[in-house]
Formats: sequence, C-alpha cells, structure tokens
Amino acid sequence: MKAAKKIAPKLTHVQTKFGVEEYKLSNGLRLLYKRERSAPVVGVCVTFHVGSRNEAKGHTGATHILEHLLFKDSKKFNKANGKEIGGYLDWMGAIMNATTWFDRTNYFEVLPREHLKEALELEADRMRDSLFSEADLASEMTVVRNEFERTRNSPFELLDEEVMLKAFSKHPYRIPTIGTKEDIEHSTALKLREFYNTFYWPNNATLSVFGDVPFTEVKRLVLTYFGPIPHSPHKIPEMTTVEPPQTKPLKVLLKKPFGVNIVSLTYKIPRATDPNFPSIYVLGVLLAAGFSSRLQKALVDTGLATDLQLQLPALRDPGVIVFTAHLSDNVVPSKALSVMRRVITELQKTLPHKDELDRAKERLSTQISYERDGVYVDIRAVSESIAAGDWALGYRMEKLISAVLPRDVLRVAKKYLIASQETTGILVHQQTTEKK
Amino acid sequence: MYTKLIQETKLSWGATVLVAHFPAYGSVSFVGSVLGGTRSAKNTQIARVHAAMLMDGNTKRDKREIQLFLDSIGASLSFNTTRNRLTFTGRVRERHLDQLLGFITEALTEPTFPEVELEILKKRDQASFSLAAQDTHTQADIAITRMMYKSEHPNYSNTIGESRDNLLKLTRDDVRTYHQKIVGRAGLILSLAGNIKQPLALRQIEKHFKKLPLKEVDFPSFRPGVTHKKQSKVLPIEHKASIDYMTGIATGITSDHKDYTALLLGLQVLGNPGGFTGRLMSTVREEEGLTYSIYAYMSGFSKELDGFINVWATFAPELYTRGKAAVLREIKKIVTKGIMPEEARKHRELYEARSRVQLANSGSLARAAHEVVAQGYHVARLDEFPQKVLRVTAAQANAALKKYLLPDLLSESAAGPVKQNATL
Repeated sequence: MKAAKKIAPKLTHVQTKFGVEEYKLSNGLRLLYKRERSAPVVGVCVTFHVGSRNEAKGHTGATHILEHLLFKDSKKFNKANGKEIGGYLDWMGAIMNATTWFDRTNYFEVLPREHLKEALELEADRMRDSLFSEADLASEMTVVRNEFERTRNSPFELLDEEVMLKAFSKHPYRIPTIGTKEDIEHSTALKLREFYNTFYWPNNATLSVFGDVPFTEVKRLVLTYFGPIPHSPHKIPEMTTVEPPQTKPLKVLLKKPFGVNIVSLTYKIPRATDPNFPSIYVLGVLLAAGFSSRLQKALVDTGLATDLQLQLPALRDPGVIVFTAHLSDNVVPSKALSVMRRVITELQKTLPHKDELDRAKERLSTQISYERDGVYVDIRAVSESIAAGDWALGYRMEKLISAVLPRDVLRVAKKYLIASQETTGILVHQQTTEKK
Repeated sequence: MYTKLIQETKLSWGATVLVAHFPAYGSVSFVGSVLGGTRSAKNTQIARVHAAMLMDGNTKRDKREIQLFLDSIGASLSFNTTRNRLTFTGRVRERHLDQLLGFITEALTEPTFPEVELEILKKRDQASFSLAAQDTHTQADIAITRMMYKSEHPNYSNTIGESRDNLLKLTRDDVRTYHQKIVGRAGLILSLAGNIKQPLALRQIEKHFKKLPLKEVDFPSFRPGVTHKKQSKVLPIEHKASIDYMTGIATGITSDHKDYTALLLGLQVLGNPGGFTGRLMSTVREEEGLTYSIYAYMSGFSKELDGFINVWATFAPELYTRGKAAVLREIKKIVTKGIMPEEARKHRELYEARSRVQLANSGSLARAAHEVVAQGYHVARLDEFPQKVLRVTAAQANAALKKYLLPDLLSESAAGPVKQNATL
C-alpha cells in the first residue's frame, strides 16, 4: 500500500483588523499576529476553546487539573532530557503561566524576542504530546487541593461561589472553575487523558503572537512546529446546556467567622457578544466603578461599606453582572442591600445625565487603553475576547461604548436589573463556638 | 537597555523628573512621591490616614467635585505611604495629564481634611482591620517581622490591634498638624512613562509642582535590628482552610552592602519568586506536591535599611508538618552543600533576562524608575544592577548564604488552622 502523501501545511490570511492579522493554518489552528515594537519582547498565548463550561457532571475541575498537568513532561520537553516544561522558558527570562476559566484555558508567556522559537516549540509539543501519568496526577493533586483551600480562605471568593451555585440551576457556570472537592479528589489520569484527547487539538485553539518579531519569522516557526499537528479526528463536542430562565429572586445566606459582612446583588445578563453588552458595560461603570459611581456615593462615601466591586465577565453564554460591597463594622446587611436596591431603582426611573454617561465612557475608554499597554496585558485581553466568541471584541468595544446613549442605559437597567433576575448574596460574620 | 529610554532631569528647585517615551495607546503612567511616610510621625496611622484623605476635599473642591473631575478625565489616582514617602500613583490619557498634575498639587497644598470624612474613614478602616485580622498571610507576615526586629526598627510591624488603637486615637488636628509640618516638595520625584515627551512633561511639572512649599523632613534614627534569636509564633485561625507559613531572619545588611547581590542570587536559587526555577518550587511543590505557592525572597532593604530573608509557603493542614520539614530541609541543604556553578550561571542569566521582560510596559517602567531613585540610586541602576548580578559567582553566593541564612536561628510564624501548641 502506498504511504499517504504528506501535504505541506499552509497558512491562509483571513483578515486584518485593529492592527491584528488573522490567519488559519491548514489543521484548523487560528493564528493572531500583531507587530508590537514597544519593547524587545514577544508574547505567546495558546487559548484552547475549552473551559470548565465543557466539563461533564462528576468531572468538575478537570480543565483546571489538566492545566496543571500540562506543566509536566511532554514528548520533547521532559525531565529525562533536561528540558522540564516548568522551568524551560523561565530560564530564558519568561514570565509564564496558564489559567483556566469558564470558557477557555490559556497558556502564555512573555519572553525576550530571541526566544520565540523555544516558546512556540514548547506550546506545540504540549498541545498533543503531553505525557502526564497517574503518578504526575498524584503529586499534583495535593497542589491543586492547596490552591482550592486557599480560595476557601477568602470570604469574597466563598460568597461568590455560593451565589453562582444558586443563580444557575443547570448551566456549568454554576460550578467554580476549580471544581468541587469531591470531583477533584476522584480525578483519574485516564479520564483527564480522555478530556485532553477530546479538546486539545489545533482546530480548537487560537495561537496569538504579539511582539517585536517580523511576521516572516512567526510564519516560519508556526509552520514548523504547529503545522505537522493533525486536525482532530472527531468533531469538537459542543456544550449544549441552556440555563432555564430565572423566574424569581434567589438568595444565599452564609454565616462564617470571617470578621466581615459582605453583600452582593447578582443579575442575569446576556452573553458578551450580545448587542446590549456595551450598554450593560456602561451601566455597570455608572453604578459601581470609578470615583463617582452611584453606589460608591451611597455606600462607601457614607461609610456603610469599606469598598465596592463590580464584576462583569465577558462570557460566551448568558452570564451575570455582580455588585459586591464589604460592609463596615456594625452595618447590617439588610440596610446595605436596601440602599443598593434603592440606587438601582432610581437609575431605572430617569435617563442618566449626559455628563454622567460621558464620565463612565471616558473611564472605560481609558481602561481599554491600559489593556493594550504591553504585550503581557494585550495578549491576555485578546484571550478573553477569544473565549467570549469574537477575538476582536475587546478592540471593537471602545467604539461600541462610544455609541451608547442615555436611553440605552435606561433600557438595559429596566430590562436586566430586575427582581426576577436577581440573586442576593449575604455573608455574615458569626463568632466561632469551637470547643477547646 | 531601558535606561536609554528614560530621561532624567534634576530641576533647580529640587525635583527629580524621569520621563520614558513609550508607546502606550495614548496614556501615561506615573509614580511620584515626596518625603514623608509612616516613619515621619510617631503614630504610624497618621501618615496613612493623611494620604487617604487627600482626595476628600481641599479649599478649591469638595470630595464630590474631586470624584466627578477624576472620572471626567478617566484618571486613576491614589495617594499612599511607604516608610519614607508619600506617594501618588496613577494613569491618565496624555491629553488630560496637565489637569491631573494640577489636581495632585492642589491636593498636596490645600487639603481640608473634613472631620466628617475622617469619621467615615475610621469606620471603614476598622472593618478593614477586622478582615485583616482573619487573613492568614497578613497575620503570618506581621508576626515574622516582629520577631526579627525591635520595635523602633522600620521593618517592625504593628499588630492589627495596635494599628486599630492608633487609628482610633488619631484626631483631625493630628492629621492637619502632620500635613503642615511635613508635606511639601522635599525629595520630590516624578516618574512618567507612556505617550509623553520630556519637554512637555517638564513644562507641566514646573508649572504645578514648583509652588509646593519646601519643608524639613526628619526621620527617627534606628539601629540595625539583627537579634539572631530563634523565635516562633502560631496564630490559630481555625475556620480557615489553608495555613500560611513563614520562616526568616534579619540580615543586618543594606542593599549597598558588598554581600547583597551574592545573597540575592543565592536566595533566587533557593526560591525564585514567580515561576518554577527555584529549588523550593521544584522539590516541595513539583516533586513532593506539598504546596501550591512557595518562594524565598529578600525584603525590607534599601540603601539605608537593613532587610531580611523570608521564605513563604501555604499548606493544607494535614500536609503542614511535612511541608514545613521540607522547607527547612531545603534551607539546610543549600547552606551546607551550596549551589553549583552551573546553577548559579542559569539563575544569573534568568535574572538579567527577566528584568528586561518585566519592564515591558509603561506602568512597570514608571514604577521601577521611581523606586530606584527613591532608594537613593541613579536611574541607571535599572540596567547596572542586572549586570552586577551577572558577575556573581557560585562561591560568592554560597559564602553569603552561609553568612546570613542561619538555619538554627530562623524565626517562624504560622497562621491558619494550626493549633496554638503546635511545634514550630
């Protein structure tokens, strides 16, 4: 039988937008390239389009554990040949890490530009040739558990997790990315290998290379290292769970001896690529970001709260906007919540003034410019947009935000910040009664 | 390499201005400071509260007007304190920089410190102290510095309770008096990086900052704090899930000392912060799986301040004993057996290369340039110091580790779900 003739990998230009060139490799890998000459460094980020959103019941935390295991040996980078992944690029001065989130897992490094070859070779190798074993999993398990326990030390994280668990009844966003303790402890290398073989393929990933390296060099290296990796032999499974509509207000009450009272209001909102998202973004800032926001004035400036947080993650599926306040001593949660709801209700009654809107937009526009300052933040911001389903979303956002009108903010406030879409979170300090 | 980007100017009226023109999508990052800080007053909370209240109102604008102004230009700005300085840090679009610098001088010259705002701040801070009291990392950190230094030493930390008491007894008059006596343009440093050119920056700084009054700022003297007495402290916070463990020792040397660079390299081999290259990370985490975070570092150093060595790790309660033993084993091993020449070479090169990567954005560049000048060095140290590290030999690093990292005299602290009578 004749051996199949190997076809040389090919990189095809798709489009150029916002100074970023998009290409498609013949195996399905998307490449984003940006020439950034501000410093003699290059940033590399592989974003796999898989996150905790894709985990099956009973296997929560798998994406995150796998992220850890991809720092163990791979075919070309391993202890035996003195090229351990967890150190190989570090020795070249790289700032290197990986993170897992609901909609994606990313592996990234910023390093001196002369080491781009090593970074791409390593990322290509662990995309399909990670050698993690049961022994690797066993030693990493206690590391992951310590990471899990550290997040349980934080009252904010604890409340946030419980609120998401309540706010979502079916969708995987209800489970924290790190997974449940039970599932983490029951992970097996076999199951993780199955997960790896299902999702870690070039046609389910985007490679971003931003920095002071010419495209000819990037192209040569990408074709050399990523070109030979095959397209997945199967279709990448889609996550199809749809969260049923929330029909009534929900509530979480935690009593913990954390020395602090925290309250939060969480509302369901559409996905990040929804046309209403820019208006919700402005709404969030107007309510809870910057020096002059309405909730800052009502809660922090009055001394009811020590600080205020706005969470508005850009998610692939319908997500949440969260307003959280750490309360001052002796402030009862009901008082703070009543102030928060009053502020929101007031916003729903009248069009916000143009000056107020302009301030929120200016703040957001400046924020967006910060996200482009240096390849380390730029490449990670793009990874979040990739996860949300449109790599250019972050770049387009400034223009989208500038088009938001007072009536848009009023409309989304009335549509989304409503009782039936609300989950109230309360963490109350309670003295321990631990026995000696 | 980055030094070439930074233009340093010493103005006739005393300011040092550092400007790095750096593409930053239309924005400018800046860090500035004047002499002051927690060492400039007996009650360490005064300087902190003073800084926190600089945006609470002045003779030209009340708090609300300040907030509206800052948001109208999309600026971020915060006033903070270090031991020796009152700092202001922020970012803004280049087109609004002049307005923001104008506001900073307004805040530094004419603050009103409204009584009502002080009361609100105290209320908020008390809650923050309650939270900090339950924070395992904060508690372990405070405990270790208290064991290594005497109370008059700048590296000594107050307990949360002491800080709270200091806050409660502080009055508006204390803050006003502090401001009148201390805060001016003494030791002014302004470091800017981003879309800004030096001539424009100098014009704007001259226009706004020259008018700040010049005042004498004295700092109390202190003696280097090497006690070299092994001590331990356990802070049980039983409802927490993870333990923060620290072990350390005061060195008695400053960042100008001949052994400083060699010790830095030796500790980098032991537990290089960030990444997987340190021995602690590759053994205690990667081989033994006992922790998520584990690093060794030098802290509390400056040209005049003798700092300390610290090793920090987090452990699950059931792995705590094994984890702690593993840390101490690695410390003993590096002191007795030393580091190899090849290991030293790799870490030297890593340090130099990473210093290039870490400064590749406007915020880091402005911060780093400010930091070296505030410590009393020329900005060229940003490039010179990594070169100095490149010249350290394994023998020098080993000698420094033997001299300063004394396993039998290390103090230890642990906070979290650990028993009061646990053996440390």
